[in-house]
Amino acid sequence: MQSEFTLKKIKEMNNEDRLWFVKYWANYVRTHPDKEWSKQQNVIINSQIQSAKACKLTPKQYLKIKGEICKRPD
Amino acid sequence: MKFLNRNKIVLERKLNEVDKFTFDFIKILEKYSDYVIISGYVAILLGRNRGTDDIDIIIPEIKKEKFSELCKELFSKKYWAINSPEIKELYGILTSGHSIRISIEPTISPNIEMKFSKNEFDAVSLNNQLIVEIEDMELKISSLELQIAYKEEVLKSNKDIEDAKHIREVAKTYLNEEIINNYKKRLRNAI
Repeated sequence: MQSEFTLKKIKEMNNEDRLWFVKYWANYVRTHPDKEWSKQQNVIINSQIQSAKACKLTPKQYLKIKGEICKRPD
Repeated sequence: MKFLNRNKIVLERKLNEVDKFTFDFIKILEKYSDYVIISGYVAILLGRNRGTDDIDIIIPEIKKEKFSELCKELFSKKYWAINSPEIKELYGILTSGHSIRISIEPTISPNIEMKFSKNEFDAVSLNNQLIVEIEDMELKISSLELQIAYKEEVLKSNKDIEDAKHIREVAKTYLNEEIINNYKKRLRNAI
């Protein structure tokens, strides 16, 4: 049986779900003390920075990914 | 999060690694130049729950000598410019309209992505700053209305639409929809 969910439909549903959560979280931020939401937010931000620090890209590799100018030698 | 008036927001949030990195950098930068923080970090500062490895900053075009002094202080305090070790080359990158990235040597993330103001909207950002106060320290961010308009009208990626939605929600008692629509109209004409 063919799925009734086309890729386009799945993408739309995914976007709807993501936007629902963005609104849900923003409402939480708006209605709770800064210390409460920032403690949760910091777990994500700090862990992402730790992962990024562990990833040993050279400046040239990093800037190539970003599509930006690098004048350092290889 | 308290919107004290049109020009100031006070946050009592706990600082994360990106906040600390940003405050340390700004303490040095503001000795040499005005600045304004734009884009994703603005949404994150206001609580958006996502990571980032860069902080976008616009500064007015400054003279080579002033830029050289800024770089010398940064380099003496363990910062490095990822794009080049040469101040002359960095200044050339900036004056050609591109951005440079600065971080703590030898790391790459987090980094400051800094560029010179190069169009009317960058100038609007610099001239319509909003002060965010956290723990008695201050950061200058761009007008929230312009951030929303730019993300919804120009950038339009999922990440940008979500950033704009977040700002709309947390700042809904503060935002002026007429200003957003006006910026959108100007952006459409400029595209």
